[in-house]
Amino acid sequence: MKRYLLRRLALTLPVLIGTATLVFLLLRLLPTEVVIDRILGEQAPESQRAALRHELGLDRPLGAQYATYLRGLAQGDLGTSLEKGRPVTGLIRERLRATFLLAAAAALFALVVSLPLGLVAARTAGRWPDRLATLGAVLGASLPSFWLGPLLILVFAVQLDWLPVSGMSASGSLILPAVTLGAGLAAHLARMVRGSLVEAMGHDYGRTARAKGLGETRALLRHLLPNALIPVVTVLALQLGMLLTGAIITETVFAWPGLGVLLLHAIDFRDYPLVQGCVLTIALTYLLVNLLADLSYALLDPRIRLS
Amino acid sequence: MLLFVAAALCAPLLANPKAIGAQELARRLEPPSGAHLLGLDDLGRDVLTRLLFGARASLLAAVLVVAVSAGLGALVGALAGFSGRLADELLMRLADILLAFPGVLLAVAIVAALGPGLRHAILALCVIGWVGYARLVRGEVLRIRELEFVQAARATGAPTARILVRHVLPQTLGPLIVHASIGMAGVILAEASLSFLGLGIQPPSPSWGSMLRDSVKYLAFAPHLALAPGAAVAAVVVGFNFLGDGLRDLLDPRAAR
Repeated sequence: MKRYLLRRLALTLPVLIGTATLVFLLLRLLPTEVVIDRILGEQAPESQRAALRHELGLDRPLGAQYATYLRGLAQGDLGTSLEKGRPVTGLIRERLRATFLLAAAAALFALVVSLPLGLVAARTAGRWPDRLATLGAVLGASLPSFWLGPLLILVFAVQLDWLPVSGMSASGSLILPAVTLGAGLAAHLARMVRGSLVEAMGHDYGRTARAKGLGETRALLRHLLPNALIPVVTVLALQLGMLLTGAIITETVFAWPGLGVLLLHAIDFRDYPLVQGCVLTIALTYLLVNLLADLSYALLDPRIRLS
Repeated sequence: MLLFVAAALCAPLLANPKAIGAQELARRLEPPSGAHLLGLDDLGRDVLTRLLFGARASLLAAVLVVAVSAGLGALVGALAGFSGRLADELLMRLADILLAFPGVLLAVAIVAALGPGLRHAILALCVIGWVGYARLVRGEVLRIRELEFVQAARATGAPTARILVRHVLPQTLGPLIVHASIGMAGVILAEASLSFLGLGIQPPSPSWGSMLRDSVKYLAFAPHLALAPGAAVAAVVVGFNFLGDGLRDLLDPRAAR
């Protein structure tokens, strides 16, 4: 296990540096003067343009900018927001909790919905409950979150007035955003649970459990489900990273004060240091979550670390 | 899905292009009626007309992105699979870095850097799109290059480029077509997502994503604005996914088995 861990970390490090470099280069795609025009407007006086060029470090060679960027990353310094005049790290830290809370709630929703749905579908494989569950899963996976969210707001917040329309402060405000973000994952996991269980039922230990006289449901829950869950947990862990990026759209729909909304606000205001900081934070968090998912997969399934 | 393609292609015949921006402010947010089958939006514009021309924009973006991504990806994948180990390592490590980056985020970052608009959204989606095709084609090429007819072509002294173009790449067309049809769904969804975030097609040009974004403000008293574009996106995505599944069963005998 230690060798697997070290090998995985060794493979992740160049990808981390590559990702940080990609983010650095992305925001230097445009010529410096075009960037300055975008932020200050074309009529800004040269003194203001020179000051901004210096503040963003764009008056130095690319290599020096890159070195400063990497040094800042190592020290946790992502620069200063042009619009708010505050350190980018602090602004991001204020919003991270909201995004993580939303992603965690979405993952929990996905798990709670997919397990019984997948179980019922596997238990009734080929019959109408299975077909209905599969149809539900296909629909859940196909509905874009930027449509599902407004539909849920229309029904539960506007028509029924059960839940708040947007924001984070009112009680119950996490429910609709979590359902919106987690629906696609729930659909995907439900199909995986069904597929894994049906496959497990065909194995010898599944047939033995039923041959012993155990009822179908008991055999499913006590013998088949624990083994069938290994690939499901893996997929869930790997999709956690995708939930973080999917949160960008969900936060916009529900005005949820997370990192996604901060990123879009920074893009609107052409606040390049803040855009860079947000993109980098989301990308690196995504990588680290995937790394943890890979490691937990190796812990659960010894065939992976031995292969 | 066929309805989507037909509507997109025939939009100028089904609706008046001048009506895209035509406003009847006195009747804004009017619900569906005989004169306006899907109602009017917040600026009094006909929703059906904007939906049809939004379909054209989505189809154009999807076809362009898939064509460029598949073409570029096939070329890179073929080079990686057929050339020496160094080229393969370099190209696939570049692909790994791009794959490690969440696709939506990369597209948002590229558009943030270049500025919003359809052109930059298409470019961003091409940048994230080619990697999947490259890996697919590389895998196929690694398998095909060991087959006898390729060895025979090599033995006759045919140049590498000719072997790739005439013998190897045609064998990868089946999986490529399947991947491309599923990819159309992904691109349509991604373009709609970017437009929803305000980074794709810019107003006043119609797009399904921006129509959905504008509809959120009026959900309480004009829910019809959200239903049509959202249903259109969902239906087209499902349609292309089913098309891809069907083509896979037809063209890829290993998957069908």
